[in-house]
Amino acid sequence: MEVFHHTFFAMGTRLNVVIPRLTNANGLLLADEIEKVVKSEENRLSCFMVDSDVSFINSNAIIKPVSVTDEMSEVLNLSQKFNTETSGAFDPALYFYTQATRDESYIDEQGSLGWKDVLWNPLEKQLFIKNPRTGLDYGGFGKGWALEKILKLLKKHKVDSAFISFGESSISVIGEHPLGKSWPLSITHPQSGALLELELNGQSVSVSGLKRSENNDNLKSHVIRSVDFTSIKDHNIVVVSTDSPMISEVLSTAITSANELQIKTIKMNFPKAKIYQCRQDMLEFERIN
Amino acid sequence: MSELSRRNFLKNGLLAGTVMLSPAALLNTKLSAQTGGKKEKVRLAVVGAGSRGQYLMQCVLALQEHENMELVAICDVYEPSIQSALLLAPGVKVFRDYRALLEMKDLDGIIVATPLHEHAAPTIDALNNGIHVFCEKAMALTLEDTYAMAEAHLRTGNVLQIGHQRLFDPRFLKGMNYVHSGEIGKVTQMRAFWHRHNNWRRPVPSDQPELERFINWRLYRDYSLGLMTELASHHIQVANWVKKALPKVVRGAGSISYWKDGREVEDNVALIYSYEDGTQFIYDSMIQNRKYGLEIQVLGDKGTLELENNRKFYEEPPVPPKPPGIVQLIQDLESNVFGKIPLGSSSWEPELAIQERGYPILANNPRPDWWPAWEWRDGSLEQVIGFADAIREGKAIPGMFEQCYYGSIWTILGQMAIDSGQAVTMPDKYLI
Ligand SMILES: NC(=O)c1ccc[n+]([C@@H]2O[C@H](COP(=O)([O-])OP(=O)(O)OC[C@H]3O[C@@H](n4cnc5c(N)ncnc54)[C@H](O)[C@@H]3O)[C@@H](O)[C@H]2O)c1
Repeated sequence: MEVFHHTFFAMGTRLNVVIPRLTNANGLLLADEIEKVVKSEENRLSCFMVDSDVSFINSNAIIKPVSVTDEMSEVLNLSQKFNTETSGAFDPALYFYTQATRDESYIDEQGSLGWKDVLWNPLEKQLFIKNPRTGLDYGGFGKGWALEKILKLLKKHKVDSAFISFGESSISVIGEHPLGKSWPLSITHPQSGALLELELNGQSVSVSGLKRSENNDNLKSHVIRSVDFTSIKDHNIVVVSTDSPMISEVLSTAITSANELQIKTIKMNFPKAKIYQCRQDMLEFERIN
Repeated sequence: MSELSRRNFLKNGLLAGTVMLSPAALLNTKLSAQTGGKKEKVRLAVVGAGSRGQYLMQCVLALQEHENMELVAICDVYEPSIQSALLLAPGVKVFRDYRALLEMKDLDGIIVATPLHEHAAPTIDALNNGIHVFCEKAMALTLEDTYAMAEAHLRTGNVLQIGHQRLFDPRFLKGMNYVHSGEIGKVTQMRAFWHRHNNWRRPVPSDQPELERFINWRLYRDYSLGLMTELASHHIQVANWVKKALPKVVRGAGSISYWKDGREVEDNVALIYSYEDGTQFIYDSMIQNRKYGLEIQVLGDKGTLELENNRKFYEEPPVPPKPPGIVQLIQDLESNVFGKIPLGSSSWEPELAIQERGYPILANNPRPDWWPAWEWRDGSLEQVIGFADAIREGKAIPGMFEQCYYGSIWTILGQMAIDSGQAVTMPDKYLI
């Protein structure tokens, strides 16, 4: 069958779109729209781009309250909601630890870093960061958020079957696989070789854990634990499947760094999510809820 | 061809970028040099066995087995240098006057690592004596000496290679491929800097204060042009290599702004080299702050190279390759196969901010197992291999000498711009 496919760099990784039974001409127009949407979300959320909304907030909201756009305000409302519902495990305000410096020698100084330092006033749409060492970082949210926008766009264009992979760690599908009912996905733990097979029919999956680093095979994690601000070093893979790419990503980020109590809260607040994990020493993935 | 028309030919050629060295040719030389096989023996001596001279001695010693070369003698005028050099090569023949060394039988080449003002004499005498020369950068203290060295090389046909190791550095070679293949687009600006934080002095024995100028020759205008010849010469050579052309004019300023200790060379310089096509090469150097270290940035309309740092950036990221799982999905769909979509394992890519950190110019650079651990692969060892191979072939690597020659000439012209406060161009008589 005819298959349209398109790959481009965005948000520090590559986005792959595969749409069966779409002509190349129609596909290219659609691809262009997708790139625009993703780039615009990246320009909003990336803490690496000096002129993004987030960079503006990070350098100004520590001085005085800043007003934000409606879109950014939606992101901040969601941040507040997910932070509460994960009992703090999802923390999009650990910029200082995830990016600004990877130096963990400041751990004893952290006291009150992170989202609890962010004073967000949803009515005024104003934000103030009370600790200059805190800053926004949507690394564990942005891809899911952008995927939501892509799905909306594809559905608007009446695409009824598609496979989208963002950095191979956030995957969304639309409709059925053209040759079967669902899209059969198999995820392998890079160390233990354990395999997780999932059938996707409209769901979105997010995988958190270890990524290969650029030049060698030393594996390092980029997730920071919000309870003690250390980076996650266990070779632990978390897979979350829900109906929303954004919720899947938020939960997989949160679970990777969560403590027992936080995991309990997450299971309670997101009863429909399917959560799996596999540590390096486990032969199989286990479903934890 | 008459002398005048030959010069015009070369001049036009240089400006049009046809004479400058091709990195591919260099790379091949280097690779064939490394694959081994029994090579004819090359006998080398080091003149000026100080800090760099001893480093180059170590290079020769490390290569003697694999590249069939031998360190047959050293020559120096300072006893402590001789004694510490002898620790590296016990029993090697010692000369205290390079002229006696040049009389030695079976000597194929010398490596000159004396202070700058002492480069020209041993180089020219050796070339005239049928001995090939590897001379450290910059070539000489004056335009006249630099030209005289080139003249001796061109007249005798003996090899004269200059110690610009970046010409052999695998990262720079790969980087030049990116530049010259157009991958980073049209280059109209280059920026380089070399910053250190120290007084640039060597200790002088307290009972021999009269040795100050001899040991700290870098700081005095009779022997050196300071930051220009000792550091800037490297990046000026690289800038011309990038552009495959020579600058048209240089402007500059400099001062002794911090280390006011009786030295005569600047501790702080800033220059702009302008090329015919409008490209500017902006260079600065100082020795009272080391935060930014050293770098040469090549700025094209499609991308940027940071050559010292081995990084490459794109203005617009290139189309990435598809991960294997996606390739498989597409193939399955196209041939109407209902297959599993594999994710993870070896196909996983880093998700850190690749674009912001750039990509490596050279991702890995494996060393042969005999490669000495102390050599961090900046091209220094390769350039000694290249020198020995050039001796065996009886001719220099094409285009390389011209590149180094004009690098030295424009280094001195830069100093003249600083000294005079004027825009300085190259007098035609220094064309080769
Ligand atoms: N390519 C590079 O990266 C690099 C690095 C460092 C130095 N260098 C170059 O190497 C050269 C030497 O620098 P260095 O740091 O080794 O200086 P140095 O002062 O440590 O060594 C110079 C040596 O030459 C000897 N010498 C002086 N006059 C002599 C003569 N007439 N005959 C024989 N020996 C004589 C001195 O006694 C001393 O041992 C300079 O041209 C410098 O620019 C190049």
